[in-house]
Amino acid sequence: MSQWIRWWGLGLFLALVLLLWLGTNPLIQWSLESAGTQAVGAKVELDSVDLDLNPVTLELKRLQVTNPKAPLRNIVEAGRIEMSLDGYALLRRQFVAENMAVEKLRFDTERASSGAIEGRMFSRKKKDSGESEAGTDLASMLPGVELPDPDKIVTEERERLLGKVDELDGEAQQIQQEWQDHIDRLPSRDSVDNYRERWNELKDKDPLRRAAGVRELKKDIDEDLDTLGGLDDRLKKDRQRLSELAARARELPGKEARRLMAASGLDDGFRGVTRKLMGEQLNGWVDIGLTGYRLVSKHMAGRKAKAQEQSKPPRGEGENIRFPEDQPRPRFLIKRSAVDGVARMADSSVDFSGTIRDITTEPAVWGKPTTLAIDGSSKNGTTLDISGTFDHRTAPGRDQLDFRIQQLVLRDARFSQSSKLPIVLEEGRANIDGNLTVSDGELDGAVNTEVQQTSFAAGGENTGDTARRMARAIEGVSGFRLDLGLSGSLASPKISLDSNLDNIIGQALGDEVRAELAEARTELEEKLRAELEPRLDELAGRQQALEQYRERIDQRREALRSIRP
Amino acid sequence: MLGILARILKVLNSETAPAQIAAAVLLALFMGLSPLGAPHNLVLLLLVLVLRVNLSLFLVSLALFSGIAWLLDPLAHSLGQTLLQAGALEGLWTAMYNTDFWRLLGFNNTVLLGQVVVALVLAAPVYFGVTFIVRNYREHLRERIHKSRLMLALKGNKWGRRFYSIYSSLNH
Repeated sequence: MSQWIRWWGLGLFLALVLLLWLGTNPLIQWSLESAGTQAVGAKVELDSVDLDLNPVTLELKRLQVTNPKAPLRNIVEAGRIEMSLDGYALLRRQFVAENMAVEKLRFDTERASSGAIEGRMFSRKKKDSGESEAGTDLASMLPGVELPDPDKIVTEERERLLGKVDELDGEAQQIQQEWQDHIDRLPSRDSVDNYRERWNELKDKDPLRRAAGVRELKKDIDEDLDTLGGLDDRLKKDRQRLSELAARARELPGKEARRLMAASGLDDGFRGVTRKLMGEQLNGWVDIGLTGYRLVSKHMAGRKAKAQEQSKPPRGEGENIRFPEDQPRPRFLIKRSAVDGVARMADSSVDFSGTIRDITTEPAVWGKPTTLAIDGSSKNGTTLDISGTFDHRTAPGRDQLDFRIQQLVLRDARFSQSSKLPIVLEEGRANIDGNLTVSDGELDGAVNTEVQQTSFAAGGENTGDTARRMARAIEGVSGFRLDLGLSGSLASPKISLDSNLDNIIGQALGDEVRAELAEARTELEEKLRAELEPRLDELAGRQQALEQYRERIDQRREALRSIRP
Repeated sequence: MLGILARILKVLNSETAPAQIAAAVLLALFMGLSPLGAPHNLVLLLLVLVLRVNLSLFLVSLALFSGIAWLLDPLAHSLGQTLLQAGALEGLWTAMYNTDFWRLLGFNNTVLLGQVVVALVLAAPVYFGVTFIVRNYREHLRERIHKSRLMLALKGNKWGRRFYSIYSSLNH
């Protein structure tokens, strides 16, 4: 027997196990960092990891999650995370934490070095600034500084507008073609002659045969008259439709001119001026919020399960098949997580604390949605209240977040980064009420902000006359309202903004600028009309053709009636 | 590479029991076919180190079977999936699933189960096949190969001489 045993092998095995144990913490750290980095698309780093077995606790020190869009900043940073784990669950290959404490949580912090990862997963393309609304420099487009060039707009929009006219003309053409077919099927002159001949022949026949022949002739003529009667109704409807199409075509240049001016933030009522001024900032804020949400939600159960169903598991990993359990538990679950930290909001540092419950990758198995309740306050009187439910127990899932920030102190907040009309909110106090719902990737949200006690500084060295007038108007504002709407999808969110600043700016610019804008719009409308004129005439011609068809129907009807016995 | 081949040849030519050589290949079969992180590999590692199996042959066989496992992966996944989803076995799997020990072993992973089943099926043929080959080599082939023209040609070749010198140094 002893010839089969190698005693030094036992020693080597124990040494290997010891080495493995000593390497556990670095191994966990490496696993968490690599998995996190892969998930985020930028570096996720930990200062240290400490696993204890009695009781089973895992402590992570200084977690930093890089913002993939700004690699020199962290999206989130946590000073310390401690979890008390269920040891038995670990044996079952489940990560179940009864309690987790996340301390010193902070957002959007500075990094000592770039957290970008070279090559893979970091190729998010920047939007072409020409297409992005955010990149539009409003001041350069303001009346008195530089109005939009109608020729340029007409050239840019020509194909699209012709397409619209083609669409209208296509329908009119179809109606005209159908009528050509109806006309071709009408009783011809030959058939009218034929009826006349039959009538003449009947006159010479005996009374009995004549009566029968007359009945038959009447029946045939009546059938033709009925056909013509049916066409009358149809003609009436189609004339009305063609008239509508022609009217729409006529109105198109005017409508498009208004739309294009409005798209530039330069319609008569100045609706959208604030949206243009704040576009870049707004998009930036929404982008930060949605980036964070995407990072969290992409690992939520519904999506992951769907993705796994569609593809085969990677080589060497296989698939874990589930079976009914006495007490089903997800593979990853944190039952209760207490969080505390500091959120830098404008000029306030809000100390917050709260609880997140039932964080899991398999909510359908756990049977409870993830819930969140956080509140906080700052020394200068700002209060924060956030509550949310992330319910992915059944597909497609629904996430709901409500938040309220009261008395937020704003100081030196950049409103517009326009080179010709920079606007800085020097001070103010904001009350913000917001809610966001995401279901099946569709967004529905609103953030209503009321800012009081404001003091603006607007304008700069490059500011022109009109922009200066706007700057003065803005500087006189002591309070305003911003209602932000969020819709569309997570991939391409749509932001709408309604603000009373639009009216304030509009009033400041006055009638003179409004008249200038109206003139510009009229010029644009005329240019568009000139460009589309030939096609609009063609459309009007189709309406004329229908009139001719009506005359032909009337002529045939008269002819038939004249020979009807 | 030459060193490893020389070591294997040395083992074959040594007095090591054929069962010890076959056991090394058998353990390598189970370890090589299983995913590296499978918990049962720790037990297999203990056996490899404690039992007097030939380590050189174990390492060579482990590399060979790991390569085969990579190639067999899709087949192992399908086999594991078929077994885990077989209606007749559902009761057994459910009972095992509710046990900590089996859950720790990760039996419900399609690739792991498939590869372990493949290893079990191959275990007896591999063990007895290796024993048979070693015995036959020692009894009938060793002398014949030693005196064959191929070996003589090899000894005259540069690489053959280098291989032979490694082999000789191992024997001394």
